[in-house]
Amino acid sequence: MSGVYAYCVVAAGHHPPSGLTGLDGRPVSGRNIGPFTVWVSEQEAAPKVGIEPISQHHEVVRSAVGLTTAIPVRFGAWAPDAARLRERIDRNRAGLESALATLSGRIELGVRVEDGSRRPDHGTDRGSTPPNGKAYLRQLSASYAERARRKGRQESAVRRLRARVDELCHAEHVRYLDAPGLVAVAHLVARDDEARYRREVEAFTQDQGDGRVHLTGPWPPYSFATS
Amino acid sequence: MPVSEHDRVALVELVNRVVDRGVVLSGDITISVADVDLLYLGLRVLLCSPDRMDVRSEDESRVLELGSVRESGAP
Repeated sequence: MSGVYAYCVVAAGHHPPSGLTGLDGRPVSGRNIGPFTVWVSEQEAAPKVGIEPISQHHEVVRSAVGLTTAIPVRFGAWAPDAARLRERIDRNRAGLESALATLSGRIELGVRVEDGSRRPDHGTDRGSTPPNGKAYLRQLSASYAERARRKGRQESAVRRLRARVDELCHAEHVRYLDAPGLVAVAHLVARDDEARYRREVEAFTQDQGDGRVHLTGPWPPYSFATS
Repeated sequence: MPVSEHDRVALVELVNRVVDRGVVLSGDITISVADVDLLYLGLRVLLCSPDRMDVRSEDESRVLELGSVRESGAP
């Protein structure tokens, strides 16, 4: 018997449109499991990671989100048979029900802030070996100081972004990045507030000076899908 | 092919979400890391481990580490 690969979980009864394909061009179908329908395709083995299968996974999830509230499943969720998939869904039932309620009518938008013209200084913490202990300690101290400055810039960017969009956000996920990135923030926003959110981020971009700001999305709510 | 800033950011954001976010249906989840050597928009994707992935742009000699981003002079 073939294994199954899962893309997303939706409320029972919302089946994929006919003709929708997923990994390796396999047809996507819906499996009813308790109060959910899980969008799956038959797959003999767990997928290999690559841009193409990742994109195929994403397209299926995007298709689901275009039709109804969907909980995206992380790439790689393969089960050797339907019974094993059912067992996993049953085990996560309460969390999935809660996630469906939280995500209903909401989308994910992402803001990525990069450090403008600033280039990473690898010389402070890697590269050439210092000639003596004193030079080593000086190098270490410079590295700590740069990290502290960087942390300050990261926190400042998040604070200023929040000041703009806080009232529009139902949830937030923040990732601090190594150079040249500063921070990547994901927000869960009501679909109806998307235009307003974009305007606020545009205003934030104007304030950001030489830092580069990228607004991405709307995304299926990957960052807020938990069970 | 040169990678535009927009494409680079979109790809990093996409891969980071799909691979590192979303519901984990715990159990036998397996991500194969074997034989990964793909070219897409001039980017080569290299996998370090299931939860940390490097996207290496040869054009820019840049290593974008998903989950964090760093630059490197290394090819």
